[in-house]
Amino acid sequence: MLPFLLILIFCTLGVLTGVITGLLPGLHVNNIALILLSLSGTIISSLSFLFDFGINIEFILILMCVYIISTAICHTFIGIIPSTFLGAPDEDKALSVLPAHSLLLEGKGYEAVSLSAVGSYGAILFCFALFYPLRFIIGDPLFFYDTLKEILLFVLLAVSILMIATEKSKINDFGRTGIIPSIMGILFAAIVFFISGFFGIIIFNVTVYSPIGLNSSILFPALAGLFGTPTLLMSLMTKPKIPDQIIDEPVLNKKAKISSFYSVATGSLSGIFVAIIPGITSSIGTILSLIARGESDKRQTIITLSAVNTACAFFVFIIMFIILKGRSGAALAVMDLVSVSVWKSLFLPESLVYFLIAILFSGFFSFFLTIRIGRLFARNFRRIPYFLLIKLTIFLICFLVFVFTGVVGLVVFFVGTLVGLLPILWGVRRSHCMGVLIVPIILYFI
Amino acid sequence: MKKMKLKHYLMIITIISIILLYFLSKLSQAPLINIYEIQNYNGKQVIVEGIVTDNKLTKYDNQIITIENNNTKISIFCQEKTEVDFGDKIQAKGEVQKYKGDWELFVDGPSNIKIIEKGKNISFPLWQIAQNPSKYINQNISVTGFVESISNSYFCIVDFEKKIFLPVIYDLGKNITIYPGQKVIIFGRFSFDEKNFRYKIEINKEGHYINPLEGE
Repeated sequence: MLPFLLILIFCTLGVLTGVITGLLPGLHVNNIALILLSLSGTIISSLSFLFDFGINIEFILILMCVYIISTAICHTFIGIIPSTFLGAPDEDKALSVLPAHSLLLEGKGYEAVSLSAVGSYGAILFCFALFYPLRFIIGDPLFFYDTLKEILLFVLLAVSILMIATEKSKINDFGRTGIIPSIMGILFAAIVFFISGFFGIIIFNVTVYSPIGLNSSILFPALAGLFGTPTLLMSLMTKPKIPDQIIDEPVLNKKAKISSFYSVATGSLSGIFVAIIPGITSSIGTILSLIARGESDKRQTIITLSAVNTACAFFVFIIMFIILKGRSGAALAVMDLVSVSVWKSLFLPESLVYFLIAILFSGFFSFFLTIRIGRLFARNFRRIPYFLLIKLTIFLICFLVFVFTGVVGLVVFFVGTLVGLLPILWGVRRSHCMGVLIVPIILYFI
Repeated sequence: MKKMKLKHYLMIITIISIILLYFLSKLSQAPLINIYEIQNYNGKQVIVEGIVTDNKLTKYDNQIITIENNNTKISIFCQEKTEVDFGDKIQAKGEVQKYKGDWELFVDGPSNIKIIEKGKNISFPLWQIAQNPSKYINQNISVTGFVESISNSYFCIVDFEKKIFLPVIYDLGKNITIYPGQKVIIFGRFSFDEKNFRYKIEINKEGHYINPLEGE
């Protein structure tokens, strides 16, 4: 009984941390995972009193993983709130700003949050129903991942071309007639993609050190610069007028319910795809699912992309047991904490059972928390010291970048921020910045 | 108009910043060091260079490569499988750390291991083939081993510890003189013998050979 109780306690702590990381754009769950990893020795010794109750070190490490997983899951739920009310998303939620923010401008910010929660929770249930059969497709005996690995170069090339070619923004700087604005939109999408790619090639040759000896990753300042700070800076620069919010539960008719189911299904499948393929993030998964879905309704778009994010966060922890690869910072941290072996038998590995409990519990808890906090924001968001919050967040990110990666990391972060501002100011999709990972991976395979 | 100017300036500043970052990256790159200096770089990123003398896969598909340069050796722990072969000259970039009392280089992924020169005229030890036999299947390869169990149409070669056996099927027309325990280099076609469910190497084409190693 005690182990189960401890799982629930760490789940709850993880969810509460996920609320903080979700509400503070730029503070990513990967940062928390990294900090936790650095402090794992201290955490184990401070929890050593549990040894007297029959809890061993391995189980304490499982509890730390449960905490990280719950944070990651909750983060994907709560992230919609700053996206909607502050217009300040992190990278995963970047594409949700337009539909959610436009509902906010209609006084329906709460509806946007509720629909997102439905999409995310739908993805949890959808993925839970699929994870067992998918294990046999991705791994032994069908080995879909091995096949995919052989054609990964072409998959990445196809995704990159699709992402650039489907850019819908029009740039009028070089002519306003005919197809010129659309062509310029695609051209600038390609420019942002290649600038990010070149940035990626450079940073992988840069060595960073933490001034206090923490584990350093060059990706942290790069991604925080590309996706975290630019929207925060833009939020400081824009002051939209927002009407009073209507706080009514969204009512879906039969057609909307069926449509929502398809949105959850396509979003979840895209999220699973993202979790399998390296270098592809939720934003790209969202573009793929929106193309597959062919749905332009903003409510369905919110449901779809919330499903992509949550399904991806869910499945990276399953994928870990099938192909032994960590596809997110949180998954890598989990793999560092506990020994993960390939799931070969018909039965679930013991640690996966704990992780599934964490995912289901944190998903359920996060759903209600998102609705609650969304309602609270809708009622009181005029009273939130918005600019102070954003300035503090920018300061916090700079501080974390310095602590983890030193002065060189700060330089990478600054250049990343400049690159991340390009798509915002030129009005193209921010997901083109994922060239930072995709281009180096493509070059590696060539 | 003001916004337009800002985005144009941003484009120029970004490109200049990336160029500056490129030069900074050249300055902050991990240094190329000699293997014997490794203990001076604990916890630091370095690049080491050497010839692959050992190459193993763990059960988690991590690769442990040993390289040698100037009579000093170091183990490289790579988190994923690489294309590195015995005899290749490689450069590896990673973090210096101590594992079970020995210095090793921890490498994030295959992208941090560059093959500078493929091993030419290298004869693989049997253990190298045994690590990943499918990689060499249906190819002409050169392999080194000790002769064992000679019969009319085939003999076996074994490794030093006699743990790995590989049948060598040879053409009776070839004038071959071998004796048990002799160390030989065999150049032939490596394939899978479906009938006997085992790998084999065949000496049946022009250019295939068995060379005794003199003085062994």
